[in-house]
Amino acid sequence: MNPRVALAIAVLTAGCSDIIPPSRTPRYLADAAGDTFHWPPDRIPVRYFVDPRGALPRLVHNGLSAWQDQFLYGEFRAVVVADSTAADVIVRWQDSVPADVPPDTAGALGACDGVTTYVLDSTKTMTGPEHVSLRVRLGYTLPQIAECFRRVVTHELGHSLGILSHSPATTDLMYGTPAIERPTERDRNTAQVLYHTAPTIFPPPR
Amino acid sequence: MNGAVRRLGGWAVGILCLAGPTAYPPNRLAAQVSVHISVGARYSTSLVKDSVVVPIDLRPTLGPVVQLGVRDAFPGLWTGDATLDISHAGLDRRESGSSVSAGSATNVTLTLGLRRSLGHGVAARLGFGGLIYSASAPGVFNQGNGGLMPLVSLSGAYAPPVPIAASHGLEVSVQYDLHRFMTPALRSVGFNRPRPVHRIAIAVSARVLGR
Repeated sequence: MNPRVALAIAVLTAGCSDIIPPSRTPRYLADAAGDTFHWPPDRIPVRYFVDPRGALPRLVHNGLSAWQDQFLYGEFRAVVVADSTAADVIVRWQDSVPADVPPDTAGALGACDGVTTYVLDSTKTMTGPEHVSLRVRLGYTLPQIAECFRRVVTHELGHSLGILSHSPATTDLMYGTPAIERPTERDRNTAQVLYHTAPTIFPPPR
Repeated sequence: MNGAVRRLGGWAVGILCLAGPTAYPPNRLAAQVSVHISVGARYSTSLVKDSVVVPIDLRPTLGPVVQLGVRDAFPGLWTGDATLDISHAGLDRRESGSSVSAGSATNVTLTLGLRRSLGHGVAARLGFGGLIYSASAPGVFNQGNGGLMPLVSLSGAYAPPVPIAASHGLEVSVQYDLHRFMTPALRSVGFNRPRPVHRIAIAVSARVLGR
């Protein structure tokens, strides 16, 4: 075959062949009793107000960055705002503010906990911002508590972006008692699929 | 053996293309070299086609392009050139009939080309080079830009037969190029082959230095 014809065919073949997209498995269900939520495109970036005390601003910054990195097409982005009345999500210490000390990974599991709450009206629309509350548990050292919050803050932010349930896998960040600081492949697949699934719960009007 | 000679021949053309502008004595260089600036608009096919529940396209919007080219006229109908091309475009995520902004990206391309006059003010150019992306948004670029992506370009130019076009080297060109797009973030989610990206630009160029 004429080399120029062969080259032209090779270029055209390279230019026209299609690529099979990767599957988003494994993953787990992100819904709560069949209801799903994610922030819609017109509410991106999601506004977070963060209690400025202690290590919370840094923990939330790291947690939001970790979650934003799981998305390929800008589906979820967040900004921190200074005014809590303009926030979509409010992140606060529930009781005491733990000291910002270097973390100790040994025995840190269970040294803290967090909860993400929202209230729905009859149309399954949130009536106000989501609230993330973080609480120190007694019986642990300050370094253990610091380590615990590195995991739990990012875990709770996962709930705030729409993963309403827990992963059944103990190795995932969204497991009920997380043992890692960053989303796993399963967490990432779950979040990506969630953001392309029609929601049944809607954010509060701004 | 024959294939090896042909490959070497291909390299020789490339090296000649590179060396051509520097091979002439300085006094002749001044007479042969010209600098051209082009401005125009570029259309691009999708950088990524994905499927997460629904089909998703990540596509650059129509964006401006600016080019700076240095040309050296060889004896006869041929001209060698080095062209720096900078273009900027928004990135749209298209899914389920809607389009959402997913940031923007600037790309810089450097190509070395050979251009041949075909008569009647028409010229054709073949170029090879590399392209690099720089993006303002995270997403597909959050683990890096994918490095230098090889690129091949083909273009046709037309210089209208009017005095002002001749005196300023004015041309209208249509440029096609092809590169293969892949980033570390795409690789990390399981994309195992780069996607061919076809781009077409229409530009107007003028000579700003030289003859």
